[in-house]
Amino acid sequence: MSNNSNKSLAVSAEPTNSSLFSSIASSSQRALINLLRIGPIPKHVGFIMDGNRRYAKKLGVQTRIGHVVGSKSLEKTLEWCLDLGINVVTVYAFSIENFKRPREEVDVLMDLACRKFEEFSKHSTFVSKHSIRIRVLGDTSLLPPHVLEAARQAEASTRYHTRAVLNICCPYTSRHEMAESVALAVRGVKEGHLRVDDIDEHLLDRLMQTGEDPELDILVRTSGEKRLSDFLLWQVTKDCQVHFLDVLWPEFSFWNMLPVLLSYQANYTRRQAARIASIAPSPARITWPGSSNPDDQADGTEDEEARGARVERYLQLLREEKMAQ
Amino acid sequence: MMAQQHRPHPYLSFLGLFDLHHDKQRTRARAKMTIPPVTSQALQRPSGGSQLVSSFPSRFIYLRLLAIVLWFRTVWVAFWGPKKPVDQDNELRGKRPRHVAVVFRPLQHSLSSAYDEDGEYQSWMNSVGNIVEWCLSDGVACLTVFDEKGLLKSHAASLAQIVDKLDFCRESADPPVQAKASIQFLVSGSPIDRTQRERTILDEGIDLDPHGVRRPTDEPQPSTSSNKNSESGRHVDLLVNLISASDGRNSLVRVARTLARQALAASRADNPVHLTADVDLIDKLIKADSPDLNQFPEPELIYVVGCQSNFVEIGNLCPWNIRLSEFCAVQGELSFMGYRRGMKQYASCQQRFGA
Repeated sequence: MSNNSNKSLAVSAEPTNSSLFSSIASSSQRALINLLRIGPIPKHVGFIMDGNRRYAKKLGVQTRIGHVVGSKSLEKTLEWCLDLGINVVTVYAFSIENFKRPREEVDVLMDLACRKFEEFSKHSTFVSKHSIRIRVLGDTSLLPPHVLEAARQAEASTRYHTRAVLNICCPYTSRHEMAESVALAVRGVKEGHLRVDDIDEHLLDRLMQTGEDPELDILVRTSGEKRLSDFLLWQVTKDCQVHFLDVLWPEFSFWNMLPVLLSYQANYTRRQAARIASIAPSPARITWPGSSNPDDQADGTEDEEARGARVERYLQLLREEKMAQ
Repeated sequence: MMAQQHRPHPYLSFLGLFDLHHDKQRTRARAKMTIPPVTSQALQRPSGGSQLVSSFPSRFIYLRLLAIVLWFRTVWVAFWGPKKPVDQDNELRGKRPRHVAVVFRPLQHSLSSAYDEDGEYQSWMNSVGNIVEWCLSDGVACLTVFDEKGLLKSHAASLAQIVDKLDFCRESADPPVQAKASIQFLVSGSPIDRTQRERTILDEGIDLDPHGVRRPTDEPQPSTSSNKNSESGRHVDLLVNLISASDGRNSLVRVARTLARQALAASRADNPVHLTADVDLIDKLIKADSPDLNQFPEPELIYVVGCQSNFVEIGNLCPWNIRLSEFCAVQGELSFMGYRRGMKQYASCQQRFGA
């Protein structure tokens, strides 16, 4: 739960608009956040940040302004997510398909991303205050060199932050992530770390790029489109609540998220009960790195323990390889 | 008619019923005025402009003005407003999905005291009958039906018989004849045959081995023929594929195992050629798992039936195939209006494919 780890309950300073309305709004937001924290809070939330271009068109400005306002909206979203105590936030910043867009727009987006990564890596107050670990998911080999370098720097400098994780998917498609996870499993078998029968849903889950994170609880897509567009497809088919909100990303705020959180809390007990009811006597359970294997006394065969050990060793090997990069 | 001194107050005249004075004259005047008090008042012309706003006859004028404004609006909408098509089919003329999926979510989980598996299963069977009819009339070529536990799958044969008895007709423009629609049922992408009918029973764990691999030596073959759409090669109007949780993420697990076995065999044979597991290869292998469905695109529209109020819980569908599908959340049962809403949503959606 969130309340053990968070100490500060106040949100950071609101922007310069100091009208009566905005101060009432911000204090009621703070009050509501404190109220929500009494109940269950999702551990992992995903956002598809859609609607920047439509916002720019609506205002009659250039597309890049829409993207800039969108990135500001992302910062504000992260602020209240962290105040709520959401541990992991995954955002869909850029899709591999988006490289098809006009060159200027792609350049604008890449520059924005580069600036954001540099800001994160220079220990911005935001990142260090909340102790956020930044991870960049996706096919990073497709990024231009300066962006790739900035992304590596941001990851390396925040590697040991433990309170929260921000996964920036750039450039990412879920099919690519699933293909990578299958490739890693095949490699494990080929190199003798694993057997063919060790490959199952749980292993592929751990091998996904979000393998170290808790299960996805909520996925929010803004701008009213009702599809997933190749984002977290594997994670979403596993007991996740998907909300399609009819608001553009630059206009997205805590107030749009409030009904989402309330319905999460209202459905929490039903969801937990359904989860318990659906747990079949499967051999392997998901275990997080560092934690001990929970319940193997139940089936406790030699095979299961040996299998668990093989899987853990292979995952450790992959982690060490990634650290060494 | 009315005594001048008993000229009733414009607002309080209707309160005459509460008047406790039993004066005869007043009673008579009241009797004439209760229904309707307005007529006598309307004839009077109150003096002073300020009285015009607050007095009773002016409220009546407001009503008239409102009626005039509404009439103008109706005329404007009729001549210059946005046109709503009279024919429902016109709304869908832009785009219709070829492959529709329906996900049945259980309304109660199995530990709940209100859980009624048979009742749920019956309502799903009825829904499938309705959905098949609607899909036939809209020209949908492939329908995928998912339920988590595989209740529909295990009764596929009886479901096929029930739908067969319903005798759906297909529309045929040329020649304009009503022919019986031919509907083929598949279970997990393969035709129902006699042995499979006997094999599939309610408990999924017995039908498949614990890790969900259908056949232990399964090497999926790429689809060899493009018109393998039925057992005998005849034209099928609607292909209904019944799937469950074991066809979801497990499809990717099967592909991973196949590739792992091939890689092992290649390395044992010292064969330097190896297949890199990339998106295209996995796509081919997943599609090869159910060759009868290869001629259809991935599900373009997915109805999630039995949702909560404002969100969608997708369930264990095959993650590879739901990349670009439109989702339509349906609370309770899928009625014709709900079905229509989903089709309209699909017709009006704009897929940009990343660009």
